[in-house]
Amino acid sequence: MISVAKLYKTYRKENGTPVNAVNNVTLQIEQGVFAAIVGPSGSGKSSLMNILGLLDVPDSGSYLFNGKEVSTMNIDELADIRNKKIGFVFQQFHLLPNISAKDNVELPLIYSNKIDISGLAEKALIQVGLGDRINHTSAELSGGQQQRVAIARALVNDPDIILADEPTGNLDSASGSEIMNIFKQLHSKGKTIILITHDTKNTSCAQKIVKIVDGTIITDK
Amino acid sequence: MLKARILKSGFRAAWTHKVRAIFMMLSIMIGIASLTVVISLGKGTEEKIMTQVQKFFSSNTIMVVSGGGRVAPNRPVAITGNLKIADVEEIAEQIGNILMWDAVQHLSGKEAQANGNNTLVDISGQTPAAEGVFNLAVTEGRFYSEKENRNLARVAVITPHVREKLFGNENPVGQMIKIDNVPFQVIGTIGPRGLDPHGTDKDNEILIPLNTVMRRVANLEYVMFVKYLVRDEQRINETAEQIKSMLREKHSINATEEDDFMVITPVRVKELIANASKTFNLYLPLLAFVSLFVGGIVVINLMLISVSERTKEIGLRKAVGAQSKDITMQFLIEAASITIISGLTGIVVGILLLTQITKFMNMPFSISWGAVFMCSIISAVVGIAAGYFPAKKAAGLIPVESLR
Ligand SMILES: Nc1ncnc2c1ncn2[C@@H]1O[C@H](COP(=O)(O)OP(=O)(O)O)[C@@H](O)[C@H]1O
Ligand SMILES: [Mg+2]
Repeated sequence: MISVAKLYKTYRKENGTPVNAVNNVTLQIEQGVFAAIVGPSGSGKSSLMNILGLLDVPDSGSYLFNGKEVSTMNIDELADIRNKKIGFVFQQFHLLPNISAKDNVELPLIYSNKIDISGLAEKALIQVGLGDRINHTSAELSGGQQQRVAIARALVNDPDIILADEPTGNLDSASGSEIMNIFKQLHSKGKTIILITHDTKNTSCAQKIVKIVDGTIITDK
Repeated sequence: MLKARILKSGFRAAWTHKVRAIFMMLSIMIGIASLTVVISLGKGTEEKIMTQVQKFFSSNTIMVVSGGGRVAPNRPVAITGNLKIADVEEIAEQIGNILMWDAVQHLSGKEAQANGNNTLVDISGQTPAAEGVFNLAVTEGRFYSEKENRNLARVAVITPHVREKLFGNENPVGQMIKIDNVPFQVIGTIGPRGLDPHGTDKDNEILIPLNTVMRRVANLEYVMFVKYLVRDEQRINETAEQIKSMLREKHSINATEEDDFMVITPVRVKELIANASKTFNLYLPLLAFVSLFVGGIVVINLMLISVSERTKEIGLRKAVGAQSKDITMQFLIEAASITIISGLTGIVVGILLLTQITKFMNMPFSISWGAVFMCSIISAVVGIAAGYFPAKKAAGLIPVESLR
């Protein structure tokens, strides 16, 4: 499903010194797998996930998504893959403020080529347990509820992969484990899950654990 | 259908920043409304002056005015004039294109008494030809004759306000009137004429034979101005030149000296008005354009802030699959709706204000659509460009750069 080889991504700090955020990463993730990417803060997990999620492009390396090389695609072709195949969950939720949960969840749908999208956002919200919060705005929801809206948004367009970057990082442990249960459920329904975390407690259900330090994979099993 | 839901979502997100959107719309609206008012008022004023002047200055008229501000430094001119009646007459006789003429000597602020009432009036000494030359409508009695002018007769033709103040509802014809204690007999009345282009009330005048005024009332040699009517309007400029050279000769003005009189033709009148309204037509639109410019900068800034504040929104929309054109279309249509809706509201508000102002100032309502639409189009282009270009730039970024 995902196969990357020799990925590199280098940032420059303000003083000009280079940071090898992703350093010679080679990695395969099969369809239906629950994979966890772990590592200390600043080790390059988010940088890697942004590349895997087609939100960013590597400096070099190859990336086959469903067997297709993506490094040669333009930004609109990448947008199309993100829309159809990938769902994102971010640590900072990234919900649009002051619009309803439903309007937030609908975002991937409005850019899809589905003709009829009615009822889909509601269905996704019910699936994450927010059937009674459909018209609430972000400000009217708790952190855990906001993250559940974000998950509903990630799964509304029925993607193959859900990429989650420290989804429980901003939540208390009770809300955190609720979120983790949703990911387990989604995995049991056949979704590929890539979960980024620095909390080993969240890796219990992972079939594959990739450990990163300083942008380099140190274990992959 | 596919696009409609993107726009709906865009507008919902934009409404999140409603205070700024309203502020932006208000500034466009006020700018366009004030432009509509200012430019249209300028045009209306010019039109008002034009029609007023044309009432007094028909297209076959040549006026010759004493002095006229172009007097040579060492050539003193009495404020009562420097045009000799004999010269004026000779010119009319020698130039074939002159149909008729009247010369005027005007004295203001004279005391008139009749019937135990008294009031201040203006005295207008004019020849009997005035009736035809100035197109006077005699409403009662008659106008004075050439014989009365020659004999310095003490006869008077009065105007509506004078009549009302001195005689009320009585018939004034045949009654006596004292002007600076000299008795005159009222022989006729003329209808209302309103204000002249200088704002003098023509309905507060007493018309008296010119010679009577020159010899009996004021003892003057000169008249203030002459109005000639020409037969052939096509040759009016040629006639004006002839008048000019004859007068220069009679006033012994040599080639290096300027005229000590002014010859005014309809063409010259239009020039004078155009000059006078330059202030209106130049400075007011300039002022308006400054306000449009300031408004434009406000709009550009608000749009830039709006797009940069919404960079995250753009990043997120792109992350979930928006194509670049979806983003640019969203912002283009948002910017266009904001500028066009508020621009149109501005025009409507401007027109409403304009109707009130023109009503209040007793001016004809006129609106310069050309200028109004030009301003609206400029502001629309500025507003749309200010919204579109930064959004287009953000739409071209990879999502992670806008999401940061
Ligand atoms: N846009 C950026 N500019 C400069 N340095 C960056 C940028 N993004 C990440 N980095 C650096 O790259 C390294 C990896 O960061 P990140 O991928 O966010 O790690 P993690 O998600 O594991 O905490 C860090 O040292 C971080 O400071
Ligand atoms: Mg991170």
